[in-house]
Amino acid sequence: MDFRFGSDEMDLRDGAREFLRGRYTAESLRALVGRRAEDTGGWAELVEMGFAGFLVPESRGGLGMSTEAFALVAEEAGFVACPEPLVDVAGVVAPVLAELEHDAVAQIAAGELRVLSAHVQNPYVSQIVDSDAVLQFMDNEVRLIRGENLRRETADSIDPLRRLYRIDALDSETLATGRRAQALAAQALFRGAVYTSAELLGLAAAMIDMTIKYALERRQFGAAIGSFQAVKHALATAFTKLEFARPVVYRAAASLAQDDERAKLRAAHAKVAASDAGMHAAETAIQIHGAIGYTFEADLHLWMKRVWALAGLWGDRNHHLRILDRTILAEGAELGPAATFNMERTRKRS
Amino acid sequence: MDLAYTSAQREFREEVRAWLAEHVPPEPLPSLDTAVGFELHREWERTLNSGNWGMVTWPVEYGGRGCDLIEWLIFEEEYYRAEAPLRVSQNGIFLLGPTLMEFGDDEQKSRFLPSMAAGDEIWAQAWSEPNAGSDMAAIRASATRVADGGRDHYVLEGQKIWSSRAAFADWGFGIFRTDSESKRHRGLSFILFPLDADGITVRPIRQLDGDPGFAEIFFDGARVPATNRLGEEGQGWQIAMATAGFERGLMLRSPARFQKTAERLVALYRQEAGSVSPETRSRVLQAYLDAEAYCLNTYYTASRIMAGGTIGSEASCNKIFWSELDRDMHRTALAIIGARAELRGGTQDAVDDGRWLDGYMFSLAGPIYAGTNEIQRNIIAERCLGMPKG
Repeated sequence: MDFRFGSDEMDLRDGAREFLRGRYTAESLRALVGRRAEDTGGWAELVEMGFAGFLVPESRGGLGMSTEAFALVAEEAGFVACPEPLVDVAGVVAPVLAELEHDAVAQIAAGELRVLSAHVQNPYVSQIVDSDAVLQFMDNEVRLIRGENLRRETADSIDPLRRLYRIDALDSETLATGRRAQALAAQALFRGAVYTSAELLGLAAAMIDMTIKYALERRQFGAAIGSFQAVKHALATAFTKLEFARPVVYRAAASLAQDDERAKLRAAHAKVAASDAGMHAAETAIQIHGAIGYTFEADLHLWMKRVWALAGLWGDRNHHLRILDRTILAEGAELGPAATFNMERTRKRS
Repeated sequence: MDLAYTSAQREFREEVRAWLAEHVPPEPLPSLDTAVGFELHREWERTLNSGNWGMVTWPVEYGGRGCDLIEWLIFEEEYYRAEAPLRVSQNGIFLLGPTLMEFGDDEQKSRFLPSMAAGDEIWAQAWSEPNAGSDMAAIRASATRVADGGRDHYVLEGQKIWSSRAAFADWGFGIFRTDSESKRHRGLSFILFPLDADGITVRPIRQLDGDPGFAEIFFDGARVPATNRLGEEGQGWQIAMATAGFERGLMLRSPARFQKTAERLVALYRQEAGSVSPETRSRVLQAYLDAEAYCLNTYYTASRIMAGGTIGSEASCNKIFWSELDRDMHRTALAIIGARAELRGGTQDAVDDGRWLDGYMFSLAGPIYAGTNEIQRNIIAERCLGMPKG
């Protein structure tokens, strides 16, 4: 039992942090909004950093890192409200293609191809550019749709950095059907839920940080509003909620490698906890910003709107609470400490 | 990251489970805040100690087993699983014990720790005063040093209040002003005193449940040897803060306690499922998830501490989280029990012999003791988030 990240994992986290915070600033995000840019432009750099192939085995040109380590990267991406589809491509699609031993996985790691996901739980695909392919998880089939066979129709998200598309395929390559397809769709859902949860943690942390900064600058009644207990206590509550969501997400990320009923419950718990922490942080942040928080003038809205979007992705709160409800409240469920961790070590998939 | 127990940890769990199965009293003991219950709980402490289970994280020389924090968490999980009695010695073993190990000299350690682990001496804490609650630095109780030919002692004057366990305990610990000219956090010292000393009067106070879980302590010229001072003269505030850190941090409230309550709540829900509203059902589920989150956070912190990290002001987050969780869980249980919620234990129709009602009352104290949650939020804002003092 050791609930810590390895030092190599922390080093990679630090590298991701340094790069992402330099590359994506509030100014650069605002510029993207202004340009209504189709391509957010940073993917090649993420590939260069090794993030596209973070979970891809080394034999296929990736870094072969642990499922939990990617949560740290996703958290950092959330912190800067990164508009690139990092979780989608590197966290969900690449590991599934690796499991299918599909050649596209090496192309993803090498930056030659981007494959985004479409999933029955998510009505839209986001961030597609012309050359991208889509891995679609349907009820009974998993199929790969190459860019030239993709028909897309735009939909409008409140998040100005999320470009949504309804998709259709002229032609596709079937990768799995029946039970196998269902299992892969379920796996994609857990992965999506867990890493989106990690992004939510980062978004929440960033909103708390920017709100503290604002509360130290903004003066009313002759003092920084951050010196008032009402403001301090609200932020302390948001911070506490975030701190207690974090290990829930990390456990779920570590459990992704074990592919069983528990992994599903842990993913569900993570999504509920992280969505709640994210929504709570967002509402606290706008309240403390006051009127300026209700505008495009403050940076906050870019982070807040991302939280709104991600809270509904890969299974919303209802979806995951129903999974938890059905299991935990059922007669004979294994509860308490015995179900919190694994009594026996389970074999990890590479 | 490795989230599975090792075989040594599994064996340890089996050992604890087997011992408890053999020794835990079959019937719940009477409340430890009654004279009879207190002595029965003391007996239980002696039984625990006879198997060296009194305080597993302590070094072997003081009656412990030198367990690490993960083993401590496992021990606690088994302890609550076995529904073993509450720890009447908790102020001593969880709060003063670790403080003694950090600040006490060798003589003090060997004088006080073994008897604490054995349950022979039960400790009460004496922080608050009538005019020093959340504002603890306002304390006025004094300890005046008197030189006495190599046998120096302190003369204690003043009043302490809300002292848990003091009605029946043997010893107390608290901070006193040793420098009469001093103000606020300075000039305080941490002093241990026997509650039956001449010049000390204990007046029990009935808590919400009607039992004297608190007492008021009056000091009228009581004399204690200078060797009863922990640490340096004037270092009292710093030592008290360390004690409060243990209290809020990991040791006072292990996650097993709340996971057990959450399991009982789920069982209660299942029993009454037919009459429970969807809203209450969702609260049951949320309580279960939050209890598990508390457990995860504790293992996460424990792993960090075992690798040389420390727990700082984030201990305040823990205290807020468990105390509000405990209140929510008990409130939800009472909502399920409905019209029978007011029935006291011993009444024919009382659900679970009134345990939920007792637990609810006690849970209301959680956000108040060990530093109110308002004070905790100040600490988080000022020390974790870098916000200014108001």
